[in-house]
Parts: sequence; C-alpha cells; structure tokens
Amino acid sequence: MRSGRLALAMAVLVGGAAWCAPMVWARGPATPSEVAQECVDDINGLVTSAGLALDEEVGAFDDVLDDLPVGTPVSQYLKLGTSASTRCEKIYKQTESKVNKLASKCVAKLTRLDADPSAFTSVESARESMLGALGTQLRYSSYSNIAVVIQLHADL
Amino acid sequence: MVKKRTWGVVAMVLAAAMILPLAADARMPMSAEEIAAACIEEMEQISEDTHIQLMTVTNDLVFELENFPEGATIPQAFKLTATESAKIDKLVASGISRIEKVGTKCIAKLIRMDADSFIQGDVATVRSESTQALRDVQDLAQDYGLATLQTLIDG
Repeated sequence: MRSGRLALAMAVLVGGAAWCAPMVWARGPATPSEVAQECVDDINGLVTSAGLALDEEVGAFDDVLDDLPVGTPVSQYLKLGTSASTRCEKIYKQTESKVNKLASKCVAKLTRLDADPSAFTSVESARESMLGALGTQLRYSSYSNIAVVIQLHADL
Repeated sequence: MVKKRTWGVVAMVLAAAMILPLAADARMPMSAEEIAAACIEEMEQISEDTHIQLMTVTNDLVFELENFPEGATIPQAFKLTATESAKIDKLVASGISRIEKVGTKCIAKLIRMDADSFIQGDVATVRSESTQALRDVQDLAQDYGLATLQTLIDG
C-alpha cells in the first residue's frame, strides 16, 4: 500500500517535471526584439490611456458648462477652461514622463542584451511618434475643443 | 458827515438791489428739459469712457495673445484671457451700474417735478440704449478675445 503511494507520488513528480520543462524553456530570456516590442506595446498603452483621459477631461468640462445657467459671464467659463486645460497639460506631462522613463529602462535593457540597433530605433521611434501624437491631440483636440465649448456657451 | 454816510448806505442798498436779482436769476432752478439734458450728457459720457476703457483692455489682451512668449503654455493663455475677460465684465458692470444710477435718479427727479412724460421717456431711452450698447461691446470684446485665443491654439 505504502509502496503504491510512493510510486504514485514519484509518477506525479516525474510527470510534472516533464510537463513543466518545455514551459520553462519557452519562458526563457526574451530576445532583444521581444524586449523592444514589449516596450513599444507598453508605450502604446500609456499613450492610449492618456488620450482617453484627455477626451474625458474635455467631455467633463462640456458637462460642467452645460450645468451653468445661461448668461454666466464668459470670464467664468474661461476660468473653468483654464483649470480644464491645466488638467489636460498635467495628463500629458505625466504621460510624457512615464513614457520617457519606460523608454530609458528599455534602452538600458537592450544595451545589456547587446541588442541590434534596429531594436533601439523601434523603441525610440515609438516614443517620439506616440508622444508627438499625444501632443497633437492635446493642442488641436483638447485645448481647441475647450475653447470651442467656451465659445458655444458664450454665444448662448 | 452824517449825510455822506447816509448816501453811502443808500448807494450800497441800491447796488445790492441791482445785483441780487441777477444772482438770484442765475441760481434759478433748472427746468425739466435742462435736467434731462444734463442727465443724458452724463450717461453718454459714462458710456463713452467705458467704451474707451473696454477697447484698451481688449486691444491689450489681443496684443499679448498675438505676441505670446514661445515657451509659455496654452493654459497660461487661457488664464490670461480669463483675467482680461474678468476685467471686461467688471468694466461693463460698473459702467451699466453708473448709467442706471444716473438715469434712475434723474427720472425720479423729473417725476417729482411733474415733468412731461416724453422728457422722462428720453432719459429712460438713453439709459436703456447706453446699457445695451455696453453689453453689445462686451460681447464683441469677449468674442474677439476668444477668437484670438483660438488662433493662438490652432497655431
């Protein structure tokens, strides 16, 4: 009876080890290109979240102005617009800082891995292009829409 | 000696009698038309002064936005516009309040004098037209400021 249990335990151990081995092997150290791709994806995630947060800020600003009575002084709208645009700027700045930090970490990791220059380029170009796109959204969508919302309410 | 003094007193009394009616005439109460004209002139003057001040504030804002420093941020431009816009609102509110005060006091005075209703009407019309003109200029000034801000944002 006891030897039967022992044999079963041994079988489980051996079987488990055999099953886990390929997984450990599959999860082995990532290649430079995988590291670079992971960085690009992370940057993309940060910038996408920030873009959504910017849209939410403008939407919330619009709702706040909608709740104000008709005839509210334009200076009051502009005061609220100043706060909304400052929050948008903060979202951008915080994301810029996070993205730069992440990119720096990635570059350090790629350097340790003695990665190919193309891996560095992909991270750097993702950083530049995504922050550029977020900056464009900040200025020509968020700030611009805040001004448009103020103008619309001022004309009521 | 006594006769001389008497003649002197008589001469002074006569002179006073000639001068006093003139002075009294100069101090005669103003007619309803004169009061209305003075009030209208005062309201128009307040309106004109406020217009000039509004133009100055608006032009200063537009100039500052058009020459916005390179390193400054858009929220700072919003802040500047908000500050100047508040000045515009304050100027207009003050101008309207002063015009309404002058006009209302004037109409009350004209009512007490039992002045013709068309005279009161003239004052009331100028009062309402002046305040409306200020509100219109306020809207224009705010629109101009906002349009300049939008131009700055759009680069």
